[in-house]
Amino acid sequence: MATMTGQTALSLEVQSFADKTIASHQGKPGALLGILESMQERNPHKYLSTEVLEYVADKTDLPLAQIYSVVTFYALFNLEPQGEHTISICRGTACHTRGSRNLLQRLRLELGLPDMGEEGADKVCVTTPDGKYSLRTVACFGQCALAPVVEVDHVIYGHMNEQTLKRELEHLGHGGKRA
Amino acid sequence: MPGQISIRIDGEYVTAQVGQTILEVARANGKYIPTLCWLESITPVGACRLCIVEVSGVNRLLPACTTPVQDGMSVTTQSEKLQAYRKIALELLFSERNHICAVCVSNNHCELQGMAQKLGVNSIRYAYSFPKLSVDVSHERYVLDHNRCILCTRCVRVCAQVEGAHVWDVSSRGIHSLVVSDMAKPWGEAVNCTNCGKCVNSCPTGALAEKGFAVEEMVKRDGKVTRLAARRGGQQ
Amino acid sequence: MIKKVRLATVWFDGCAGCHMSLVDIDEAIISVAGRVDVVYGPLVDAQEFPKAVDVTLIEGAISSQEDLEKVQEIRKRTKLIVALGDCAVTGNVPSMRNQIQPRKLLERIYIEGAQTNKGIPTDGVPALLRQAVPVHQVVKVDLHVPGCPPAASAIAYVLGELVEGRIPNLTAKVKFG
Repeated sequence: MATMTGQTALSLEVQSFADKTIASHQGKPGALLGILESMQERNPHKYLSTEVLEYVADKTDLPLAQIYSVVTFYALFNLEPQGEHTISICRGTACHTRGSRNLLQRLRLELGLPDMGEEGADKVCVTTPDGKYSLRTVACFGQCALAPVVEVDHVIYGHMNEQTLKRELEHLGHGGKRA
Repeated sequence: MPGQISIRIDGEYVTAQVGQTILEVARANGKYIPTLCWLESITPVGACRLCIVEVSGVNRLLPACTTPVQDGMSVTTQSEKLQAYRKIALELLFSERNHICAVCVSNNHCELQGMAQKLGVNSIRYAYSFPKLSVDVSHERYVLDHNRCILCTRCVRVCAQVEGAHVWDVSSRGIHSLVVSDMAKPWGEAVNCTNCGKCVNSCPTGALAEKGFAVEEMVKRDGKVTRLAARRGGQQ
Repeated sequence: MIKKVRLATVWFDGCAGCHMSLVDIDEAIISVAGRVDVVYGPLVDAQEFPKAVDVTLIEGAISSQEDLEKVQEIRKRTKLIVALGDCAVTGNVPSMRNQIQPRKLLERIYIEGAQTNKGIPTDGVPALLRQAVPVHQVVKVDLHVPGCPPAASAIAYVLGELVEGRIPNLTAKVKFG
């Protein structure tokens, strides 16, 4: 669905990458998912900006609403810039009974993120203002035997407690121990 | 005739065409099956679950609006079991959002309210979730009140299939689902909206309404939309 | 002589419209009046909710600590509870505050919204519950009569059946709103 043909704030480099990606997916079923995934992966902050979505809509002739529907349906797509490091806390039943909620609260405190009360106990996806860390919750990693499970930069850590979690954070350079 | 088959609805033999849905055949033969998300000449989605029917030999309930007929099929449209499940589906719709009929523009003209009366739903057994939802008044002529939306997606389908603008779609998933215009921008800023009002006229509740109407004053004309859809070639 | 039905009416968080609809049942009120003793409610003088009540009509949502305690006591003392009208059945208009914390709500009205005497009243007023809820969310309700207000004809039918000892069948006779 054409919106702002010819007008875009995207750099020429991003535009040509998008054009190439769209062309390589031409005629394939489910092309949109692949295009969006490539666009997000290319972004240094691993997210899809409004400008990118509008550009993709324009070039693929897909309705804006439909693209928005897809990117909000799948948890893998981000609409906000992500931190350098991503920490995902499992909030599935097994991890919950093993205290993942405390881990979540602890991380919030450590990273200086606001407590959102009951509402923020289940579904979280926030990034620290300095852009260093993204904290998110996951429904289940399928690693329930290792509960509670925390994923740091795509690596799964099992049987976590507040001390081991803090140590992982320090490894990432948090708390001033390493630059 | 080619493609003609015979099925039974509530014990009665009726003829049907291959490719028709149970709902279409039932309606053509004067059998009433309750619906909320279904709209004539628009692609059915089976979202509201009110049109569920029993089919002999199938041990789960099937939505009549999306289930195609098969030769020799025997369908039951009314039973205590169906009545019980239809009530559950309807009560869950009520408990999910803030449906305050007394202060709604569509009071007395609302399909959700009318369905509750028809099915004898006099109270909601499930705890209301009382979600905090917004009202979008940014459009010059229309209002979107998420409190009254049942996510039937009639607006989404009518806008995409009849008007061809596809301004509406559903964002997120599950309990967090919301109808959004374009990139979840205020409706008034939706560049693709043609201000045609088909979404408003096809909305079964007061979720989409014209501005300037008070309680009870908003009467929808979904017939206008479905006739137009049929003339433009029906389901796409 | 037939024993009269001991009838109570209660007014919680509602606008009194259901009570107005109750007295609006025209000539039916004569036959109903002959069969019931109104033992408690805004229409009579009784100060305390009596014991061994046959039927209690409840108007309004359960909104305050006082409502909650009262309705629990009423349940103990009543054989059959009727939720009368949308506020009692669904929460209706009183429940429109449920997305806002009571403290914030009171501040908005009595401090930000007040011209004079700014301050949240505390003397002689019960604490608000976090949410205004339908009656059946806190005690068992035997019959729901929705409507805002329920039509006088529906109320007349309900009372007519109840005094005869029958449970009215309300399917398709009443509606929300």
